[in-house]
Amino acid sequence: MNENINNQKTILVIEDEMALQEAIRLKLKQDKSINVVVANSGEEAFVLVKEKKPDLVWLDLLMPKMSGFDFLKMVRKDKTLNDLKIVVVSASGGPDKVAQAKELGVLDYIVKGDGTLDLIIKRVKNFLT
Amino acid sequence: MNPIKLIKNNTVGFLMILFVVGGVFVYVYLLTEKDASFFHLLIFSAYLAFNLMVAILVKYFSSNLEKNEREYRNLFEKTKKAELEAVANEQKYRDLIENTPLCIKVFDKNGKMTFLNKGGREEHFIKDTDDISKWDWVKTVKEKYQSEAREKFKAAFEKGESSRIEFEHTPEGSSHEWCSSLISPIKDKDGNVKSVLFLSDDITALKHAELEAKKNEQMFHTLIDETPLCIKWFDNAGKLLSVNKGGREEHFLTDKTDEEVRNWDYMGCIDEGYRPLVADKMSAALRGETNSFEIKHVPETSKGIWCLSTLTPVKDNLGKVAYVLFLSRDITDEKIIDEERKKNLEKSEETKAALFNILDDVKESEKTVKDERDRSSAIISSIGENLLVINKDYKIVLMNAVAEKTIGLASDKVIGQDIRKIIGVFKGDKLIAEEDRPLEKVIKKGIALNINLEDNFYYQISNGAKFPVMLISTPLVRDGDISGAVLVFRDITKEKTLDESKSSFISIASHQLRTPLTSMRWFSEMLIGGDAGPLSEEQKHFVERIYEATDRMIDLVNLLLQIARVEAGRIKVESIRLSIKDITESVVESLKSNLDEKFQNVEIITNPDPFPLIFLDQDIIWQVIQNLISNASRYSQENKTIQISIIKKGDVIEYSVRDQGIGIPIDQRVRLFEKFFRAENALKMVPEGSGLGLSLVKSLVEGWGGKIWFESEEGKGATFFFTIPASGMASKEGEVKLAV
Repeated sequence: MNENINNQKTILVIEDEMALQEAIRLKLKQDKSINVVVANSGEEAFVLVKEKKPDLVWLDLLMPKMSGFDFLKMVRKDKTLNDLKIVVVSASGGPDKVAQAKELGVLDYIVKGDGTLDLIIKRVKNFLT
Repeated sequence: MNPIKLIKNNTVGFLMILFVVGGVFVYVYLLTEKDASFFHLLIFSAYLAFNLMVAILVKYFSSNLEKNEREYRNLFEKTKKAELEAVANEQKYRDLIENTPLCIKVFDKNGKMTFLNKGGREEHFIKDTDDISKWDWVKTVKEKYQSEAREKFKAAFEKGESSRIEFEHTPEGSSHEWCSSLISPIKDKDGNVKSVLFLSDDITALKHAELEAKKNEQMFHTLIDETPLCIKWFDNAGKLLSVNKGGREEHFLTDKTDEEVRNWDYMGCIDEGYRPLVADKMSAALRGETNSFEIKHVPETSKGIWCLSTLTPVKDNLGKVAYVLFLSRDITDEKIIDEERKKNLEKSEETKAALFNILDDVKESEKTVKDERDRSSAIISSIGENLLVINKDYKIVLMNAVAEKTIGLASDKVIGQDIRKIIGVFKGDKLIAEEDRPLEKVIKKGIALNINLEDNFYYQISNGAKFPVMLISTPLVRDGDISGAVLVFRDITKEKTLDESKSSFISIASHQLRTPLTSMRWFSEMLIGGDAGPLSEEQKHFVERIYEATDRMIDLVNLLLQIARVEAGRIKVESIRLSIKDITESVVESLKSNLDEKFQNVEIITNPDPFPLIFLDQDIIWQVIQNLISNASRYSQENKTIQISIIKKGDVIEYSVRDQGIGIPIDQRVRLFEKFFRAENALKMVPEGSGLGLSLVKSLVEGWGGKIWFESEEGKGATFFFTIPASGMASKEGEVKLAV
């Protein structure tokens, strides 16, 4: 794992919606122990995953071009990324999507509209330990 | 000339001459005598008168004499003629007697035969030369008749008695077998028997006929006795005289004496209902009418139940009824057969009538069928949908013009072809094997099929073109057997495109609308949380309003999306057996804080109780119940009761939520299930609210095949009802589950 001197944990936030990306980044950064890396698309994220080796990936599903699911499938195909922890934070829910995501090894599936950003951040951070 | 005769014949003439001569003399004298007086004239006149009288007298006597002489002469001639006739007659009689075929014998008073005519001689083989005076003719008679003959002869001679006798001859004695004879004594004027005439006639033929008649009579009697028919004789007063053997057997009278039979009450054996008829017919027979009729017997008195009877009057010589013959034949068996036949006949008549009716109906039907066929073909050809009729071997038997165009083949190329070879069926991208095609279910199981847009079926035609279809297929059932199927389908390429646009709209809306809203919510949340530095109270208040509005907006968008999905049939239904009462209780529990806040009470009743488990999708039913109970609570004042009843009514379950709230204004009821519509009184009471809840509920209820309606009185409350089929909700594939 890529740990810096301050024992920071790296979270890769994959979110194409810039406003949301910014909100998440700002909110996460309030925790000094977290190093936030952002990606605007799946393709970009796949490069960053290899490069930064994040402790956790915050994944949006609905993105143009490579969707969250496409990204998940690519990661699972890559054996070097076997231990990559991923949490989905999507605007849409539904049992099918949840089941499909869990099948691809996602630790949690959070719907953006469920609760406040604070609560979402707390839920995601649970997986950093 | 005889002078006397001359005078006699001419008396009048002489007298006249005398008279005239005398007269002339007198006249002359008178003429000559001048003194002739009146006296002389008188004398002369007297003389003339005297002469005239004499002349008249002479004339009278002489004419009388002539008349007598003529009469005498006539008499004489008559007598002579009669004499001659008598002689001729005598000869005639003699010839007659001689030549008659009768045998005539004459005996003298001593009993000696004095005459035997020719007929007799021939009959008895007697020659003309034979001496008949010594012949004892009685010996020609058969012995048993001889004494009678002799006695009768004796009586004729001695007592002068006439008699008749019939006898039989010996073949040697006579050529006549049977004779009938008259023995007649001939008496003199003193009454003494002078001779006896014996006259015989051959009655052989008559006798034979008589014997024949007797034999016939005997036969007739035997016949009457031996016939199985029942024969009764009645006298002309209608009294029973006798019953034949057949009749006695028929009526169990064989051990009865004739006397007992005569006194037997024959009417007693006739069925009461037929007695008046028999009495009637008997009266008619006694009047001389013959009649036939059927009678019914009292079972214990007769062997046969049914008889055909004939009453025949037997008349005497004067034409008066002497007897009545009552003849009966047992027709019980025939009657049974007849009844059977009648029944059959009636039946066959009925059948015939029915047949005619059917024929009429058939004719009528033919016409109807023709009209129907014409109409059907008009409908089929003008129908805008593709229509195919397939027989049970999947061969196409009918195809309309629209289908020809869609499939791209003329019907003569398609009729008789296996539909499975003409059309390929896909579900999405996957080709469906022939045996798994939906049509299989229609033809093999007789299940009607309805494939909609969301079922995602495609047809591929012979040129390789593939298009999405919606189809309805119904089995053709004839006499309980499936004879084929009707298939109506539509190319739904346009609908599919439209649906895909709608689908992408929903998808886009769900993402594109919610993403900025989420962004607004998060940033306002961060502002309130002081992430961008502390806010003044006023600033904080404003941002909080933004936050709340955003939150409501997100809920609204979510609800709209749900409705859109439900309406598009994209909601996945997963039914499992659940207790609807338990779900209701859970919903009430989830709304507990709201209910408690207004001190509202919820009552739940079910019928039957306990209520059976039914197949339900928990999320869907939850959404419906939750909306209705929360509305009931929201639009009711404090301390009110909400009554929930779940009742099984036939093949549906009726669920109702009754509140004591504000009710629904009459003029707004029709719009209640419209999207975003909120009744005026509801708006006043609860300003916030999307107006989408009931719309969603309606879509969901109708989605599972139920009905939804309400009853309300403004100011007093409302009751919302919905139904679920008793079989529950059918599971269904779909994009997403309904989010609660």
